Amino acid sequence: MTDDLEERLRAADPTTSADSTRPASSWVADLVAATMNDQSSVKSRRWRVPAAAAAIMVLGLGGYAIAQNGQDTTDPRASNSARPLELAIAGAGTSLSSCVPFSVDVLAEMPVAFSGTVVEVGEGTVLLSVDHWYRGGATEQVEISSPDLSTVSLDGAVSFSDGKRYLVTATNGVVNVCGFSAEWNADTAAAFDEAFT
Amino acid sequence: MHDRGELFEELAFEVAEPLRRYVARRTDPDTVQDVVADTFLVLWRRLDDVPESGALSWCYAVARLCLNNAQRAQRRQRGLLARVAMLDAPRSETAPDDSVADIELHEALSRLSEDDRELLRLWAWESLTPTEISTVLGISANAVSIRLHRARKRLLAQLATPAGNAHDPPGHREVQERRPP
Repeated sequence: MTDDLEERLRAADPTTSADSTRPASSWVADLVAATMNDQSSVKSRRWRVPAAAAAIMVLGLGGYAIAQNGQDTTDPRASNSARPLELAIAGAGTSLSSCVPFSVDVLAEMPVAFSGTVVEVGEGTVLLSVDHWYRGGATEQVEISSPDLSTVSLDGAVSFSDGKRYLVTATNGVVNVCGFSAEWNADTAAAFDEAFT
Repeated sequence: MHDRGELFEELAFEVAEPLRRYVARRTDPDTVQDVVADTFLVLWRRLDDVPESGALSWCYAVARLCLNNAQRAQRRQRGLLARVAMLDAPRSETAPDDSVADIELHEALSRLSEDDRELLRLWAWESLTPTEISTVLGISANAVSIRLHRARKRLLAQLATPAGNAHDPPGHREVQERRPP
């Protein structure tokens, strides 16, 4: 249904039909020349570019990987619930360019999903107390650790702080970002409820 | 090693056409040229600040501010003209061609908030990812993902709702009609 909507919206793009006859080369060179010869009209203006968003884009390179720890993470119910499920931050290096647009349909495919509160922040580790397993787990706690201590708080805008509550999903050993894991908020929680019920 | 002029020219050719389309989707044809020219002036002045990756999203963010400025100026001018009773009806932005336009969709879009419309346009027309949209709008990628999801739901709801009932938010009437047992 969402794909249909996207297709329908794209078809309604007002610039796709009548607008594509004029090649960019016919006007860009003129505009470039005019621009470089005329800086006066913008000197008094101030432009604020969303630096915070840019920082997220630059820093948001870390992915999480679940440390398998001898367990089959696709079915953690088999593990001892008294022992935390162990996750690890893989460190910087993977790209966010594979970010999938958030949708409940995609969320519903996640094999591991829970909400939990950070109860301990150690050196390169974060321990979450799980208050609800939406899918794929039964442990009372989840521990996230990082081989690269500098990346603990990084990733696509998820940073773990003591006492705060989070919604987390993981697939194939990787904790998902791009909106699929986040600090707990009513919007995301509603999406989780919709996806996993 | 490129000099500044060469770098700008390279960037300009890379972003010019997507930028022109971005502006053309959001305003009338007369304004497009001015806004693109203003945007280029800012890019030239701020060339050192353009990020190596994600340059186009950054340029959209600049174009968005230029467009807002142009529209503010137009509103001021219209206000002035209205006071002397000489105002033509303002032209609608991106007026769809009636012969091909999905009127139902445009009407449904017009009933959404401007924030929802802009998210949907950036997603469907500019084909941006949530991270790229976050650069344009200056909000977090997580917020983009959630708001986009909700905007799509609201658009679907509007498409499923007859125009006359469109202002009742989904679920609202259901709550009103619920009776105690």
